[in-house]
Amino acid sequence: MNIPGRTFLTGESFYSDWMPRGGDDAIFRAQLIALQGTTVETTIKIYTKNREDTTDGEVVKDSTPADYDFGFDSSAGAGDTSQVIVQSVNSANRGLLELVRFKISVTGEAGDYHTIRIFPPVWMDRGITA
Amino acid sequence: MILGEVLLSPAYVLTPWMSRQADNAIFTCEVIVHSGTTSPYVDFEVFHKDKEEAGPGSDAGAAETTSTGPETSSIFISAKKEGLKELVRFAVKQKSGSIFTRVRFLQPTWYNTTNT
Repeated sequence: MNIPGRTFLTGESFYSDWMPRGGDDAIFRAQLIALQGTTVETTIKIYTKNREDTTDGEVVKDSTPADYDFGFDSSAGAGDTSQVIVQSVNSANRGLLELVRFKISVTGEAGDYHTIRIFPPVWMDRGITA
Repeated sequence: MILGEVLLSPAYVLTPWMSRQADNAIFTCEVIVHSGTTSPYVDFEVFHKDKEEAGPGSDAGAAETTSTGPETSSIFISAKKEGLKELVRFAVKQKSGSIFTRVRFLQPTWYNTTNT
């Protein structure tokens, strides 16, 4: 799934559409195309669920556990790209389920914004067995 | 995608050419397993040239960042380059001190500039 440039105003928070998982692991990348304001911060978190589930999905965490996030903080500039490498393990981090989507949340002063695009994911599976 | 290839010291490998899919791209080389002690264990460079040019191409001067996989010991070398020529390929060289390295190249993230 490719999300072309879209402007997110501060205070907004919403989900993208679901897409099928293309591999157990992935690299997700985004680009900050334009912005207004010096305090705007965006988080882009990854949500996942199986097709049989009817919920909003659950946030994908690493084994810390901490939420994977490839958003932009207030120091980011136009043209900057971000990425997060998501890998699944068999214990605390259960990894990606059958469906994947993003939750984009923007904070900062009223009226400011981030214009962001999310690139198609780089799907992969584990290259070694151990 | 080029699946896990083994480099034996002192390997210096240029991959086959591929066509540019957009003006800009972020490439990823994953060091899956290695015998080295100096991360990221390989020198990874992006080469490019136009179709009319003969020769091995030139280093595109991509900006590289290295990170360790969050759940494995894999090393991911990301190389971002804006303004690529028509043909692109990778050069990978094993750093000294390593006996072998197994690397793979993941699907590039191609994109065009949107800012006017």
